[in-house]
Amino acid sequence: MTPAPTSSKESQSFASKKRHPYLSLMALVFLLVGAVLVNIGSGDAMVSEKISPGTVLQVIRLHLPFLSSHTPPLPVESSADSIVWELRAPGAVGGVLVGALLAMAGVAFQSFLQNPLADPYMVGVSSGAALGSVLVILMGGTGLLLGWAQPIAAFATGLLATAIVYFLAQKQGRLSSQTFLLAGIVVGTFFWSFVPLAISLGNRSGNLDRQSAILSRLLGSLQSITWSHVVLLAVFGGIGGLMLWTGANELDMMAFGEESAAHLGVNVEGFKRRIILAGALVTAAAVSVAGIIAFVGLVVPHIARRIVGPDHRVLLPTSFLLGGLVLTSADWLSRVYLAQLEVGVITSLIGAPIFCYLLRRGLN
Amino acid sequence: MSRRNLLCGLLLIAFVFAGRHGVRLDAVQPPRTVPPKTSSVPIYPRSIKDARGKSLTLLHPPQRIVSLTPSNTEILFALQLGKKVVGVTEACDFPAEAKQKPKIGGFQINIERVLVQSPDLIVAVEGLNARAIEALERVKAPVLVVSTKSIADTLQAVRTIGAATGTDVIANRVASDMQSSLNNILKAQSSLRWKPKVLMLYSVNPIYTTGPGSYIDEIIKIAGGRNAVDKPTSGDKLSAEQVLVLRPDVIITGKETQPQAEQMPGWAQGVPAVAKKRFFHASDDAILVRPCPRLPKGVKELANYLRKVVDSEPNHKP
Repeated sequence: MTPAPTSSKESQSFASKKRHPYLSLMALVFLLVGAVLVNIGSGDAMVSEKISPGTVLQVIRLHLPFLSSHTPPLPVESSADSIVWELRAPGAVGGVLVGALLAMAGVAFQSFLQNPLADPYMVGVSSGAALGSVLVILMGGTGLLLGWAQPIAAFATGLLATAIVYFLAQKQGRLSSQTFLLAGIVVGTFFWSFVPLAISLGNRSGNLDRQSAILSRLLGSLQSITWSHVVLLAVFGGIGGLMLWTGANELDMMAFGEESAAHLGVNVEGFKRRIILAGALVTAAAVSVAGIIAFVGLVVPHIARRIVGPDHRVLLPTSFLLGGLVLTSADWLSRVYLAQLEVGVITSLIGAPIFCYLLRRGLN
Repeated sequence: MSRRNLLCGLLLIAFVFAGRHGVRLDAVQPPRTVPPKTSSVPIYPRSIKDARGKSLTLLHPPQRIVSLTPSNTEILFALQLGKKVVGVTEACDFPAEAKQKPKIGGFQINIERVLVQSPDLIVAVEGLNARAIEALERVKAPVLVVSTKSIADTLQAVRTIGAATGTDVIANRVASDMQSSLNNILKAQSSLRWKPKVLMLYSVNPIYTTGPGSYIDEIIKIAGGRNAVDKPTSGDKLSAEQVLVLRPDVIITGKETQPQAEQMPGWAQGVPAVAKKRFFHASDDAILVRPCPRLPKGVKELANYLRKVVDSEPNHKP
């Protein structure tokens, strides 16, 4: 198998000297497509023995509109189609969307709160969604609503937490960034404290499977993503992502402070509401499908800023691509080499050192 | 901070319970021999109703079977289907041949590894394998789900797997052998002068146990004891104080948990089982907790142990 898609590092040094934003974007697109193909093409040693990259390519061609008629069919007893098209492909595509959306929301929150520590989880979405997921799992309701109960509950409780944060932080139609951050932390902690409470009271020791289901929600995992989850991500991510991207100019102006932005004609309060709503939608969709994946929303925006600079029209798509690239690479590592370790653990393992490096660079 | 603690706790719990299945093989017992079936030729296609009431239609006798739990692996081997098993878990350690089979995961099932074996039957356990079942059924893999929540369920599991694999005759024999062995133990133990209070201790920190209505509860009763935990507890957890109030005469636990229990403050004085060092370990950790054909052997060992305890205290007042 070809070596790992070495995510951000090359493109970072490649572009940080001279900023060619569109060149960086192109390079990222190629890297991302390559990473997704490598991810779908490889499995752990035992599986790839029987399902070669060639077989994977055959399966993909069978699912493409014009190529399928020119592709030899698979042997009847082969499980390659299920493995490639039902397990790997939705996981890889969904993983890209989750990483991309988290990174984009991270950029927006960092910019409009003017706080480099902000991340999409700060507004209580993650704790709220975790609580929703854990409750459904503990009540044994994962099969309800055609299997949609858990993502729907997570989505709803995630948005609920954000709504509470918003109403705590606003006063007479005005929202202070400081209060918003504080309220986010408090509400997040409050919701989070219900998670161990529910686990402690609601869990039976014998139910091994629930333990691992809960663990995968709290640590973040792409294992159970289906095509319908990808649709959910695409719809809510699409709406939220467009809301963020069309606000790129305002985000640029917000960087000079709220007052200056207001002087430049930005409806500051309305814009904040829009960013919070978009960020919460995007994050809730990601968390409800994949659980709490750490660090992507915090670190990727910083790396993206180093590559293309602060212009949001370029920064947002760069973060989008880079977030997808980072998460799909972490997923690839987990699936092929680390016995399906929860992908959120890998993003933390890799994300924390990168963040430390950036911190040191920033200090010099 | 609290998040990290919680995760550590969850991981710990996960490992504790994984440990219930990941066990060593202390006593090697020859695989159960059942006379080969003679007359009836199984008829296919046949439709099997599984533990969820869902039907699985099989066109041919399964030739490539994957087992998702150690208990199902043991059942399959007891039904003389060992040669047709093409995938087992990391924890499947009995019989010895099972360890040579391709591994399809441990605590977590690796769905790709299951599918790559092109199985024509996958045997799963309700609850324990819930996530794997969901994923496998999404890609229309032939999954047979059995339940092992009680001894009756376990006997039914043997029969259901037998029906699906065309080994009905052997399966009925294995199940009725299990049933009659357990009945014999129950009958023999009814003569005990008093019923020792038995505590199942999965782990000490936190103290996880099992209450009435559980599989272990049934086993304790058949072996002639009574479950020290006679009322359901929240989350199957106990506090150190509650154990002092329950005063179990015998503790069932793993060899690694025993020293921890002995060091619990106050237990050496206030808990009879600890004071008298009455810790029961089955000859193979698996045979008591694994719902499989070897179960009567484990129950028999516990019954013998309880009889010794009863005999050592002729003046015991219940």
